[in-house]
Amino acid sequence: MKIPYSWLGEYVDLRETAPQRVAELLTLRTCEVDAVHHVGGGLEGVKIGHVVECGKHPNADKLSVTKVDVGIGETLQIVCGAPNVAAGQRVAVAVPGSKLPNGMEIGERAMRGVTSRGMICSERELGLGDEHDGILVLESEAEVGKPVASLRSFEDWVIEIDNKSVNHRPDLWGVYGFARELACVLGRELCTLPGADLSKAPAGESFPVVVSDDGRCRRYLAGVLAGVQVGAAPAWMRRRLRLCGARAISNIVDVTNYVMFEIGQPTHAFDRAKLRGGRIDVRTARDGETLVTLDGQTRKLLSSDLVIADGEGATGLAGVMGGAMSEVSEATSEIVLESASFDAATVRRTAARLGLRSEASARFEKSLDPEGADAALSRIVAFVEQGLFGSAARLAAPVTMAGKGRGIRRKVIFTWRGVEERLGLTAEEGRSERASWASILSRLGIVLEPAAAQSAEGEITATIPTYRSTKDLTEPIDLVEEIARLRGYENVVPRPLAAPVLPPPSQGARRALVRRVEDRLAALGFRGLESYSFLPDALIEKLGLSSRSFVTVKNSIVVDQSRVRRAVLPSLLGLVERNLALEPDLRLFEVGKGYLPERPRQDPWVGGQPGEPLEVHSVAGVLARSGPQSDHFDGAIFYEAKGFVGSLLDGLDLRAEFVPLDRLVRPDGTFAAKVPAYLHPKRSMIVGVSHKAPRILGYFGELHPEVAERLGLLGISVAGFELDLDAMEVACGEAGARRFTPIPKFPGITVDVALAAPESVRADELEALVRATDAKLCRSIALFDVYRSAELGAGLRSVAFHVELRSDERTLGDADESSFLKALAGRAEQAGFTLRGWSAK
Amino acid sequence: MDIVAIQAELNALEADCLRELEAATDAAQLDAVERKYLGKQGSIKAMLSRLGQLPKEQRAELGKLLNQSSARAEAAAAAARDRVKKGALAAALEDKGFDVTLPGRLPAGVLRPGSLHPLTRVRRELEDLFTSMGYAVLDGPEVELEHYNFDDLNTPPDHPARESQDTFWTTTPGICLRSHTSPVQVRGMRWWRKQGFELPMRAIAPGRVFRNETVDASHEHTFHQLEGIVVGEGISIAHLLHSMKTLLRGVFGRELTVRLRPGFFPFVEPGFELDAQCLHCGGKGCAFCKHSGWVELLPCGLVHPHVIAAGGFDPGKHTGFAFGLGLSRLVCLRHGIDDVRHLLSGDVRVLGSFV
Repeated sequence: MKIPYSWLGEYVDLRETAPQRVAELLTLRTCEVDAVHHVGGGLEGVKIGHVVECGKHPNADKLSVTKVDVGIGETLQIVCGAPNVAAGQRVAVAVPGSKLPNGMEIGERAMRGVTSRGMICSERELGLGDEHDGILVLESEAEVGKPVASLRSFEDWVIEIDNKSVNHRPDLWGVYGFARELACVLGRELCTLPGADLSKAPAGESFPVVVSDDGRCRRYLAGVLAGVQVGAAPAWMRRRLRLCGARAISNIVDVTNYVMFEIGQPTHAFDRAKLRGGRIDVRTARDGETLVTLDGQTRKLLSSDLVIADGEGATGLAGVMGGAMSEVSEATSEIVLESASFDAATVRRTAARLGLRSEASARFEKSLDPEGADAALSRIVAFVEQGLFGSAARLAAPVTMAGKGRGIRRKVIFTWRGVEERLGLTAEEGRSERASWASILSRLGIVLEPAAAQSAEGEITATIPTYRSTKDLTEPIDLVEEIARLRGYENVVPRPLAAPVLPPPSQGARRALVRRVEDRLAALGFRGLESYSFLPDALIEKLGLSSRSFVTVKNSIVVDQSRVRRAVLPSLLGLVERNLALEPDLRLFEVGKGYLPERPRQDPWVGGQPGEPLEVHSVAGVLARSGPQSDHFDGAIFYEAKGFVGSLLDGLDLRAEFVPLDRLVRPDGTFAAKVPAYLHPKRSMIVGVSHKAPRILGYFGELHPEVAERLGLLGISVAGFELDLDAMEVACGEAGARRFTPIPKFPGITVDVALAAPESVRADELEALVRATDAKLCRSIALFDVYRSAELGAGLRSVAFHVELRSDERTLGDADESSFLKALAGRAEQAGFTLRGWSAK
Repeated sequence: MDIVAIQAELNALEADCLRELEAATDAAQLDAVERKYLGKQGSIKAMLSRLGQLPKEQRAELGKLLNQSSARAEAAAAAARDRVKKGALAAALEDKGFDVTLPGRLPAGVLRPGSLHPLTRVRRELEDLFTSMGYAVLDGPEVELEHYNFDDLNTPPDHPARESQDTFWTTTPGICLRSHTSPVQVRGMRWWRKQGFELPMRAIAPGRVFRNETVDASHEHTFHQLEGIVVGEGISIAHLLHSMKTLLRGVFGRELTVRLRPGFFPFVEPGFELDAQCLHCGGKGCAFCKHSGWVELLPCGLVHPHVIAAGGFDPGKHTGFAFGLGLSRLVCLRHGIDDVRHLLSGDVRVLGSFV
């Protein structure tokens, strides 16, 4: 919103208060000021001139030669290229020796053989705006020879307000509201808004108005203006509108806009001759009803819209935009001027649905004071009386006043003690300030009862003025804000918070876990990242997840920001391809959230609402290597992922258990746990722990080759893991603190054994067989070699383990070793395997 | 053989030994010389066997000569050892053109260290700062109920912020992606009350938030905030100001000059923007502060009584303050990141800058 400084100055004395100071005061007391622009400055050498003569240039078709009186006794001969220059005009003349804001120095020079002494300026040349199609024509009454800057609202400062910061202040959507605010801040007088006395209208039949939807239109005034002459508004008014960012259109439109910018109350003029049936009905739109709005668009209406209808149908969208049918044109001689109060929510919804946000709708949706309707109409009629609608224009009949509502004066009950507490003052400190607080409230137009409120300890009733009663000041805390901001936030003395010395209540377990996870993974060479929660559709497709359901955003302005991830690993997989070129040995991780819409969780606090989707909090990692394949055996990345996951869990004092998928088949053939479709079905495992109870934490595996191909990663080793932090937190609780293993009293012996078995027998089955040979003596079993050869035979492999045998009661000897080996050989044979060899260390 | 001949032989051996010791340049050569002459099988020791060839009365004399010869050779060996050792030490300290400027390297088998995201680091720092002041750290869902994101925050159904373009709405009515971390205010208050924790409640909630808007170097559709809330009895603007100053001292490591000015957020009343004197120019005015001398740092305010009530506390008795810190903005400020979009890009060139 743009507020001209000179306009404010008409209602509050700002002679001692510079524009920058006004901006600063508003910033500290009221709202956000985006900028202060100086307009029309630096024009000391530009005078008001009178074009006495205007003729063709002898040597150039497009140039004119003028004689201009600038009040120096003689006329200046000026060559002018503007098409609109004409004799009799008052114009802005940069006299020889002057300098324009753009740096141009004006002198005396010859133009195509004719001497030109000075320049007649356009808006742009004066730094007023972009207009450069012709010269600026000034008001005819402008006094020749005076500087242009002396004209009303010529040189000005525009204070630009951040609209968002006054969304809660319906009273601040016009210049007058800001003047009132400044009067209060500065403790100065506020001048009364000029207005005509509407009760003095001539007798006659007022315009018939029915308000059928009186719930959504609280007040509707209609004034009939006869003898209207459509033309141009005065130059000073057009200048002000331009400063506010509006274009000048005609006296009718400009005056209604001017009053809207001044008071904040939009009004609308109908061509009376075009109101069919000669009446107005403010009613709910009928579903399917159409209306051609002023911009020429045909609008389809809903019953949620409020329309201004004439005898035959809708002819305006209440508070949003007028209809083309009843638009004022040059031929209009009688208008019906509407000044009304429409329901904020209705205007906002209609404007939003039709994409028709206007200066008017922006104001109505703030919940304007119904009394503004009266003020605006009376202000317009005052302009009519000054002849702005033509010398014959007049209010032709008593103003119609329809609708059931007037402005209300809300009452708020508060205590001074409450104010002191919020400000952080003791009762004693507060008592000395109460008189000044009462004066702040009274300057705001708030009436206190009992009146001698300064000394009262009890409840005080504050009666709020209508313009702040619609939604702004409704509770005691709102009055605290008024007092606090006008008292000055710079006067707040900071006080330390007093609280018992207690550690923060727990709930730190998750945070501690996440930190351990992050630190461990970073130590293992993983780079921590934060990626977007959205999964691009193309990535969903490539990962083969199209059939899954996703939390889906319906109004995203970008296509790829509509599906919310279910897990974190897919986001990481989407980052591999472009990062691999930068880092050929890539390891990334993220701690993040995913959402499962198919498992809504009802919130006990929020009744009747849909449940929120189940939140999954997890850590995922991806590792990929693009180096030459010969360096690594097939599947190396799988074992690395397994190693990293094992080390991660080890760092959390958890003993990882890795379970092949086929061991999780239930008796009915279904899987007790699955890995996502983007992982390799034969090279993936479930990760679990069983400290107190068996728990699945997540999974890891190689990337599915088809997915790898779709991601442009074919032939590249990629593996990933995802572990659930909820499950990990529970597991960590169950595992407890890591137990110290006592240092052995007796030395152990290490035996290396190699078992030959069919390929189909997994290493962990062989390990189990070794352990079962003597579970008591076997302290550790570590695989160290897998070997295949022709000598062994096709379909067989040899798997070798280091086995540590140890007893807590005695030192083991050769006899123990040989009896272990004998037993192992027997067990192996029984299982159909062979104990190929052994050696003791 | 007579003693003279043997003695001549012994002298010759001793001379050889001394010469060879003299010639030895390292410990291995010394070892060899010692072994050759002075070891159990060494040639000087071997002369003992010659005793038998001599008449009894001469044996003692030869023994004496042998011992003297051995002692001299051993002393020479010790001296030679000393010489070699000193030589080796001197050599070790000699300038052999050793290039100390060649780059350092990790031994093979040591993992290249990973890294933590700058958001993680700054978040941790703030969590530690707040927990040291008795604040709890809370978490809230990113896919949030409209009710928590708006209704409970004194933003009733017809409030313009609801319909504004910048909330991501999901296809399920009533569910959106949270547009701020403020829903955790109400969730946190309810949890606090349910747990029966002592007042004043002090909590922060860091996390990601979403805005459906066009992105550029300073605007992201997904970014991180840190919400803070304190609720108790008699909490005032004075407490808020003190706490905010303390917070900023913790974050920036020095006292900043700050000012409060009005700011509007439906869930606080009164609402403020807390500005700090520009961190770059110190208030003189520069491009960073848009020549105003002030930088907007913390939106804050007293918790609106409606929000206190939504949280399950008694608005007649309990008051509080709340604030929001732009984590992403702070990270960019701290590390000189010129484009906020780098933060969630997942680009290893960005991540690699924070090892």
